[in-house]
Amino acid sequence: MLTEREFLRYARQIVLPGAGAEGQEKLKRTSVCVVGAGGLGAPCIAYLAGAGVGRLVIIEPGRLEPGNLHRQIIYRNEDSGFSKARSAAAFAARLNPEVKADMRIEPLEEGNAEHIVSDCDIVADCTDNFAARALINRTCVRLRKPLVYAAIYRFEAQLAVFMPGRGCLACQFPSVEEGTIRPDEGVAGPAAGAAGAMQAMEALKLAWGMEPDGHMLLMDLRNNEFAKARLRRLPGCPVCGGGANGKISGT
Amino acid sequence: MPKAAVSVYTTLRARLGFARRELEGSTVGDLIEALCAVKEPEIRKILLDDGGRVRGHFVLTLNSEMLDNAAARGVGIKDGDILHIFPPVSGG
Ligand SMILES: [Zn+2]
Repeated sequence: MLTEREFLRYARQIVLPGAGAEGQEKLKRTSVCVVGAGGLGAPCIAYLAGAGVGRLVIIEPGRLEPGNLHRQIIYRNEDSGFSKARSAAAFAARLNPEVKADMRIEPLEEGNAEHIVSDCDIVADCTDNFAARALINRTCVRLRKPLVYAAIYRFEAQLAVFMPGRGCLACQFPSVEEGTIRPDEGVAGPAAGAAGAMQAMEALKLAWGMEPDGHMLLMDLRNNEFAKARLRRLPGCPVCGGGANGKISGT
Repeated sequence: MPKAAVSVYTTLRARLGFARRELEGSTVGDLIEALCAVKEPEIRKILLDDGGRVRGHFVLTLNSEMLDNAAARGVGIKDGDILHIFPPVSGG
């Protein structure tokens, strides 16, 4: 049951079609693992905390650098040099004391991924490199967790929700060419913000029980062009098996 | 010849100097050749492997449906089709 304070706090959200008081209670029971508290993670964490997701698990090994501040909007200038996971968790707690904000000042790695992810209902991939993204994808496939993926490049962003048994990140991108796209090529802060906010939107919809649309969204915020690509299951996908015969390997 | 809108992303966009262009061709292969012809040999090297196949890290979608890179060249084009060519990105 929601308290009167919660009814007031979430009033504008509770009246949303498909949400309701029941949906608010679902959010309260939902835990979201946000991997990476940078340009994507910052707005994602903020909206999830504001919405009243019951538990956030923030995974981030880094310390805040001045060069992060143009896009990582939950931090303040004086947070420079301090743990981003700690500052992000403190931000979430200040924004909404109803939310339990856990943090881990470490990268997601082979050794801890399964343990961390198994404890959450939804995973948001807000990382900044292919290796971490591949690990998150493998872990979500293995543990059958919905994965809300976003990635950015300059003014461009990609967003998708991968549901267990319906194809994975590797089905869409069977090979990556590390080195062709470098993280130092710049990123427009609001482009990261838009993608991170949309990750929070997708996580909330999942928690409310709304079906994801089964597409990858390609966002071009330089020209304001948006396109959709229908997600596929790649036969023989080395990560999920592609579900060619309705079976998912590794589960 | 049918005309299709071709949208490119990331490095291809930077090298080509445009995000979207209308190109003529009756197959996806024709459109790819037209794109390569914009800046030879640079675009061909980025987009295609030695066998002339679209490199594995690029995803092609025709009217929002992903194509199999190995068979993409032979897929027919109708007037008004929309082809997107994009690689995974990793920034966050
Ligand atoms: Zn897969």
